[in-house]
Amino acid sequence: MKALPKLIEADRFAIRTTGLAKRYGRAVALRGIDLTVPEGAVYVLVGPNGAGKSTALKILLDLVRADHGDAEVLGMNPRVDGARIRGRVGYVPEAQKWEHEWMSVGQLLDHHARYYPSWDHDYAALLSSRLELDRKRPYGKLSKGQARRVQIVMALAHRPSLLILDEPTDGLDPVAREATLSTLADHMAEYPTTLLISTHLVHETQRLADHIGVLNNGRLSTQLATAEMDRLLRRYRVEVPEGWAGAPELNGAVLRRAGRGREIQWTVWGEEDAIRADFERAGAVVRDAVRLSLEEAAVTLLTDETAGPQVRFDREGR
Amino acid sequence: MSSNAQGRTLSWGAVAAAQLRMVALLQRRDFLVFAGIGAVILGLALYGLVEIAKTPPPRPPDALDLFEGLKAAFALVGALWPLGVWRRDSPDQRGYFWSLPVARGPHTLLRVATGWLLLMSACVAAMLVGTVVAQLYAMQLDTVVRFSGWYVPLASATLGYLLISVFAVLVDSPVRWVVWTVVALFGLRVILDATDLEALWRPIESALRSLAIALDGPQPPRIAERYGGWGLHYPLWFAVAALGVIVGAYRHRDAK
Repeated sequence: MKALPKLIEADRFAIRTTGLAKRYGRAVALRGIDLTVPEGAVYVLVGPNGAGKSTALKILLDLVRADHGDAEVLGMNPRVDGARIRGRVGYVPEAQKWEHEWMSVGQLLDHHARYYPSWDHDYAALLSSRLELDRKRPYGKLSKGQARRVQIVMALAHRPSLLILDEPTDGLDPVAREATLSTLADHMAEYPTTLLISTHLVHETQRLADHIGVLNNGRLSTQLATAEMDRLLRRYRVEVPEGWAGAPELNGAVLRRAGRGREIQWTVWGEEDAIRADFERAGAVVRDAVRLSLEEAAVTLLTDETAGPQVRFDREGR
Repeated sequence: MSSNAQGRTLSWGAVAAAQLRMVALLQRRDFLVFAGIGAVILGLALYGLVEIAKTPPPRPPDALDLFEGLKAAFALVGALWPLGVWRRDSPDQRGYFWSLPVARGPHTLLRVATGWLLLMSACVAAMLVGTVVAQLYAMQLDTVVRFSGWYVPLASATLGYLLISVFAVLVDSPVRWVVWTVVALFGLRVILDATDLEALWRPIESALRSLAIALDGPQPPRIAERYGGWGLHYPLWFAVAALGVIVGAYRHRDAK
């Protein structure tokens, strides 16, 4: 049975980490993750709050130092070339208003621009107008959504090679969320960029994502292209006979199970034809097999991780 | 120095200019307070001038030692200045500062240098105004202004600034640390006195005396002979403070 992939294959990577581990005192944030983001990908790092997402992203920018493991961002080591990496990355932190709150929006943007020789003032003005920023308003007095819009302009206006966005829509109202995501989508269409975005609100990134990684409790349980996920992850509605003995061939491939009685829903990883054949060989009837949305897939993969080893058939098929 | 996808490189000059603008903007209020205090002092000085014109003193001094009186005031201003330079940007809030595309150590040192430059500007402006007022007094009193040791107030301000900058770049709450250091020294003194262990206090006393001399400027010969002169103590404390700032600037701290 094919296992869930842990590594993404590609010719060139924008980000590659090996065994990245980090602890804060006694709390373990990362337990040795191998994150691989292909160049040009839109990679969504999914995980609940406290999974270690922000720590992983900060390590990539040398804002936090890993205890163990290596990282490579745009071909550079963050420990050695942190400043050069930050110069080529647009970063939106998880914290809103972590910039100089005492500045006005205009002063903050001007100050930020001075650090980026490639800052495109026209583009910054265009983004500011599209996101309805008031340059005269004190940054510290903006709402969460407005502050996030300022951070988006700060991240995009120097047209970086790589965007790292940490929970960019967390805590925003629907209007601000839509404005943020639309601006991001427009930018991606206009300036091809690698995007690594961490979130626990997966459905929002469905239209952008082409790769997904699942981080839970400091472990990256799987990462794969969404196309591969579409092809291999299915929820099967299966009718089983009375006293069904189960399908041992599917051990290790079943990620989730729901329902009781004769009709059960199984979320299974693998080639659909082979899975159907396994079910039928075991005496069950597959009524249908449906693809999962990104959010459903993420929830399944996260649940699988939190539940420990993948669901196994017992003799009663439970 | 960082470069971007377009191959454009950020220069240290640009970073210094950005920091200078930012710190000047941040310290607008400090400058206003400084100017306000200066205006009050100037007002009092001019009032004194008028009073002297009305009732001249029977025995005017041989010379007016303007800069002697500025040492302590400038050392105090210098010590308070870093709190303005790093206001709302203590190490636990420094995530944005560290996220900028510049090496963290030199960037921090550049900010300290920028703050010092602004401090010196303020001090020099105050000294120029003071010189003009002193000249007016000298004319009124038919005496002269003594300019020797003009550099001492600037050196005292610099040392005060550097010493407190060590706390500003190293610890999350510099004011708390300074207060606790003073309280700890006082407490230690009381305990050592009470327990008849005064000998343990002597090295601390020597260090404090050394610091006092460093901040006070050149000493009379009898003190210099006994404890060592300003030329010995100032470089020593300057080196200690500068080393502390460098260590604080280059020490990696995880951003929150």
